[in-house]
Amino acid sequence: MSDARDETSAETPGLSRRSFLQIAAVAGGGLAVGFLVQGCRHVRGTQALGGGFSPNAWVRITADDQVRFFVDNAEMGQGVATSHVQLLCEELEIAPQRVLVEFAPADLHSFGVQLTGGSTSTTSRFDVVRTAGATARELMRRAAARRWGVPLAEVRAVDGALLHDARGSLRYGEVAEAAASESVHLGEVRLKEPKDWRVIGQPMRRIDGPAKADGSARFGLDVRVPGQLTAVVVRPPVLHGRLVRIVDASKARAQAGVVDVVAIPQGVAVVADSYWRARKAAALLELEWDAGKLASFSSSRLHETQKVLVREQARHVSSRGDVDAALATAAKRLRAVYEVPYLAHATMEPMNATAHVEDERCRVWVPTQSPTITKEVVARLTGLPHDKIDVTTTFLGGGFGRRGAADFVAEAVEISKAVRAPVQVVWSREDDIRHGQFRPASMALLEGAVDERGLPVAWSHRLTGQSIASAFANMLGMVAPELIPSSAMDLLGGAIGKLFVDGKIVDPLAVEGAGDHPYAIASSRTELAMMPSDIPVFPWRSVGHSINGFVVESFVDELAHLGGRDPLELRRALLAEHPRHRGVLDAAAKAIGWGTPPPAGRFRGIAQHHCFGSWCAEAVEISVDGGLRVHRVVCAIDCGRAVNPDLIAAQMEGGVLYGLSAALLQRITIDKGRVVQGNFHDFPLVRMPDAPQVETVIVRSDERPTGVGELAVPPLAPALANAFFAATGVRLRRLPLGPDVALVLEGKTPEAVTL
Amino acid sequence: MVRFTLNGTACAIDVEPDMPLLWALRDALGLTGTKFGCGMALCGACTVHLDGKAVRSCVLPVAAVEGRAVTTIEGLARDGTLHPLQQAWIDENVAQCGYCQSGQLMSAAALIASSPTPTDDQIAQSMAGNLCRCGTYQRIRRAIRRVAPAPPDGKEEP
Repeated sequence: MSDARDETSAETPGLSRRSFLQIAAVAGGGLAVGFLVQGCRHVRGTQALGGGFSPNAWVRITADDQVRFFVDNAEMGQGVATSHVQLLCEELEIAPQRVLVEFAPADLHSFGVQLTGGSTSTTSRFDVVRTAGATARELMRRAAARRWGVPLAEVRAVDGALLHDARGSLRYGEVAEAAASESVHLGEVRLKEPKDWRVIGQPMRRIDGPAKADGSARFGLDVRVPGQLTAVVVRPPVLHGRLVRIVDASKARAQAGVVDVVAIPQGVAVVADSYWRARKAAALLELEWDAGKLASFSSSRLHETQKVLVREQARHVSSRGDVDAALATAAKRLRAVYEVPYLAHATMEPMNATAHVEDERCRVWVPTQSPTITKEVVARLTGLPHDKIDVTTTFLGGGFGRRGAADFVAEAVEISKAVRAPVQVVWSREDDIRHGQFRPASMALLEGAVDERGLPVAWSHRLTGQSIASAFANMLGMVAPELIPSSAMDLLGGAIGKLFVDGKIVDPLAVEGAGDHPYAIASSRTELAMMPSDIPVFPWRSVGHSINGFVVESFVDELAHLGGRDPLELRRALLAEHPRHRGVLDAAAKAIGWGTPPPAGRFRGIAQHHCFGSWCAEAVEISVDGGLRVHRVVCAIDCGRAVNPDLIAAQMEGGVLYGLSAALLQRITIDKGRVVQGNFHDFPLVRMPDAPQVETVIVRSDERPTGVGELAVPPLAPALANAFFAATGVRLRRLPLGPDVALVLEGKTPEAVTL
Repeated sequence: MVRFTLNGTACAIDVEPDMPLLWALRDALGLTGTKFGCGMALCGACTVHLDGKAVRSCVLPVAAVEGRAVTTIEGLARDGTLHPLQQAWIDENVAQCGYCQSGQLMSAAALIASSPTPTDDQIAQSMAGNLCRCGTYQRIRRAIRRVAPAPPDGKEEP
């Protein structure tokens, strides 16, 4: 990052396609800045209504000195509202505390596709938001220079004001209106050198901390609009079941507060003046369901199907060397079957959405990771054009991928349409777990071999799983630009989705973290067998990496022990060409004291994984006396420059716990098409007494920022299984580990999965 | 009609007696700081104080609070001053998504009211009923410790 000017032209992927800063009028007066998709690189000021300045869609500065920042990513706990304010304020030259932060509306034209996921928020907005701030600053500097009649170079922007040695100072609000008439070429908008940063890189406190400490933060379930009704939906007990008829709704309708009972495509909605009344009435409905095609589907059958697929159907994804020859001739070889279950996201805030459909417009308030997809869903269901639809994003009570879907929005819109009133649809916890969009179950057959020195010479990974990419492909029409008919995009999306499901195209989300493992093993191959299934699946924090990270990092450990080598040293030897992998491994190893004896009764395991552009390694320390206890987890991350180190640490702490709950406790099983689990007693989360101390090490880097939010999940399960092997000599290859851990510690042998 | 004291003020509501306090607060009284998470007293998001003790409002019939004092997250600050734990939560950057934090704070406030110098184990056990999907437990422990020191004779965990 030598020349800041180069940074805005050549090095800015986020800006290359939307380099035009639209300067728009602001109702009420001010400046707002918007990046359009056109290629023009000149930025003009526009008079704002009532006096003020709106240099782009992210920033609005009013004559009364209010600075507003519109965050276009979802705040679901990852701290994006805070880190993006830091990016803005670094260039806008104003204290973050002075900025009023709002969630941006769904607006494809101003922000492009708004989809918070894939750990991309910092990466994708790093240049965009800084440039938004810098552009506003430059326009105001020009306005001040003109007013004072002084050279531009003599005007400085400092702490919310323009300063000149002789002329004194002007607050931003005082020049905002004039700034709207200024213009600046993007090439003249210089971003600061990293050495000059004062806000970026600091562990700034969360801007949403106070609202989340006094109960005032408004989540989706806290939306209250005049005349609002509450709806609960009774959904088919068997996934993909269908309502045949409402046998009797009279008892439900007769309950106090009940307004209506309506059939919608997703089930039957009971609409009332409060949640409790709707929920109680719903229990009185008599409904007839057609169980549908999943009525005979159970997890035990899935298990057998997966075995056949792995054994017989796997197709080539990638390979090097002659794996079969290497396996046949090596000194020692190993064959192992791994298995992971379906998982629910289980955000603390159950799914919900509030919609008000009227004749000429529709308003939606929703905790969503995908406002633009939401808007398209609303457009399709209401027939209204996009400019008659307002989608307001609230705080998200957790997301983890689940809130990228819009199924709950569709319900709210359908019900509001039916009852002609604003409706908040509220899912129970049971609805949330049983009608989730799950992390797919998967099975993998691993084969490997080591030579006389104990170095791996062959690696074969055959896996089966469900296509997650097809779920996205089927949503293609939802994100397509309005110029392309959505029907055409739907056809295309459906066709692409089928290619993924059929395995004609390798589903990148199924093999991520597997086919591209970094280890220098001369003969290595990955094969994939797609499992067609109607169980709904969707990205779940770290997506395919949550599966393949466990498998690859467990099996590397197995090969280390097969070859009589230290698991850390073997990884380092196989990663000689990968300094950033080694960087996080070494950092985690050093922090946990790898190579020195652990405290008495403690055992260690380690794992690393590269995903979402970043590198993460975790080392865990456990004991097994009287049950498995995880004492310490050291998490080392290399995510390029750290915009806010404390937010990164918080994400590591959270990712470790998310990973730990899955590694030890969680599974979704299906019995005759019904999800067995329903609440936190049978889909448990780790609780405070069992939560380990997490220590985060951020590896110093001068590279561009890369992903954070999902990074800490993949290494946790393998590090834990590797530590358990170190403690007991028993290799556990099936998630969740909890049941098999209990058997081993009782002196029993868990049943191994064989093909 | 159920009459009780809510955040220091007399309150009367006319709802069916079996309506859980949670829904009376959120839907009848408009106090949305107390959260719905599970409906089965499994997650603690709905924790409020009943006569100073932490209770799960999602399973507590509103009739049970007749004549008693209920405090919600909205009543934790007094006279415009944050409860020390609320300030500690802000200082430690505890919240991530924040959805569970009202309940976490109410459980923690009840704990330190009865045990101003809790042991680590007391903290863990008292907070065990409050789930956090974002994994903020260690910051919660730190924030509680800012306000409530370990007992002088308390044995810290190794």
